[in-house]
Amino acid sequence: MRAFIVVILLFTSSYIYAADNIEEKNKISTLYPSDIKPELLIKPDARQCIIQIDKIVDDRKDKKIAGVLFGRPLYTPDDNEQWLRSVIESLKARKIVFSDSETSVDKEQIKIVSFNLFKMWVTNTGRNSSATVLMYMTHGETKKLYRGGNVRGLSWSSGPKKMQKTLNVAIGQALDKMAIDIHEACGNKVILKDK
Amino acid sequence: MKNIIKLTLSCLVLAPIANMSTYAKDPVLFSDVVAKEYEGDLPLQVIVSQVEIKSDINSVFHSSTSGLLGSIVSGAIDKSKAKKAELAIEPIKNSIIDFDGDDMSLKSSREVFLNYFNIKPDKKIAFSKDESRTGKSIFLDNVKGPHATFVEYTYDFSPEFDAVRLATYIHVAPTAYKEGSNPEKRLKPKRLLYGSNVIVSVKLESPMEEKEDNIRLWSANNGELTRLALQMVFDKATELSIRTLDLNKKMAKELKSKDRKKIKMNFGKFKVKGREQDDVSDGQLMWFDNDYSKGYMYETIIKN
Repeated sequence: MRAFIVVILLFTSSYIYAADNIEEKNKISTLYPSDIKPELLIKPDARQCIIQIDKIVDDRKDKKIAGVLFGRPLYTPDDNEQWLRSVIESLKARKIVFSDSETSVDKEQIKIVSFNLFKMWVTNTGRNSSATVLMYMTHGETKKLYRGGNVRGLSWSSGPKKMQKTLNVAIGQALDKMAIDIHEACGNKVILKDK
Repeated sequence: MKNIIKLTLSCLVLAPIANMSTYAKDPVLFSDVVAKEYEGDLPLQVIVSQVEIKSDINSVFHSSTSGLLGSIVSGAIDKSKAKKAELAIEPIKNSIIDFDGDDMSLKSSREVFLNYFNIKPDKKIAFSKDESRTGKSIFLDNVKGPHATFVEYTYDFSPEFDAVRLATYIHVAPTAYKEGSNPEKRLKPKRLLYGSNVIVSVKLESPMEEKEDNIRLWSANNGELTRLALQMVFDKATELSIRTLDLNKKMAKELKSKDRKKIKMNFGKFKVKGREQDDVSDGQLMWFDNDYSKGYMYETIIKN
């Protein structure tokens, strides 16, 4: 009897979810959040590391879809460029300085980099959500692919926000790996925190 | 009460199978439905609703299970098992980080539909990650002709990580719908004008007893074996899809001939019944045609 009641409750809750989530709700937030903390160990006396963005490009073949949640699409924000820029700007939280016209340093110290979003996907696998982000970073002649992956649990009431958290953590992982290489180019030794 | 619970559980088991169905009881040929001439943009959309190879826990069956039943089916999958499978596959994903399944799918489609739509090299094929009826319905709204063709690609590992698999599902939906009705109903299986599947599996010649050992094999040397297997499944699926679309009535009848041996082939936990096709030397080929789906199923081995 208890099992039957559970099935009915699950049935009802998923129905409410299905009816309630239309395109607007299934959209990831306009900007990449600042509460995704870097998992890096950066020495306080690390040298200042300055980059100048050459290009930020979304190379995905379908730029509208970020993933699928219980069979329903999860959409990227309308202003995809702005969102992607906010992702890259999260490198600032990893002690990387973005150069602007007011930055008064020797130009040779500035690393010119480009970013290409190659793939991004978040989906649910049973009651887990999993996300993958693949992003190229180009600095000089070097073009390298960085991957961030994350798996998190979902509850029956979990919606797009929870999925987005999974995706954001995966993005954070890729950013951490990129930050390590940028810092290395600046002569800093930065490592990932032990979990 | 026990019967009600049994019935509910049966629904959970059958729902994913029903979702890959084509529902056409009478044999319908692609050439009967789709005209080679079209106006405006190509009435074809390629759909790949993944960016990396999946584990079976998020299999080709579950991927297309949407809505209410999808929620229940997905929820029924054991949480820790799903997480374990997702984490287990990470070394393989990392080893083939630059593999582009989207490109492979587009290339395959170009070859498959070349004869039908006379696709010039510079002609763009519409691509989407959205496999939902909503997404497909939006595409149908922008097609000028009476129907559009969708081709879905899904690639994954078998539950034991002993095989790489690719499932393609070609289906044709009408653009017209009754005024006042939900346009997404055009995508309901019973409204589809055509549907066929091609399922290709490349299995390790000598799989290990433990999944973890198989994972090590697939991910060694930058995923050399996985890359090769993926190339093989895409090539074979392309060839078999062309064969499926080229079928005429006589050939279609012949595929189900009683002279052909009845066999069963495994697809993960499912056993699919069909008739063996003996015109291949490099693997086993079967034609299956049941209430839910029809198409080719092929399995071959790869040396490890």
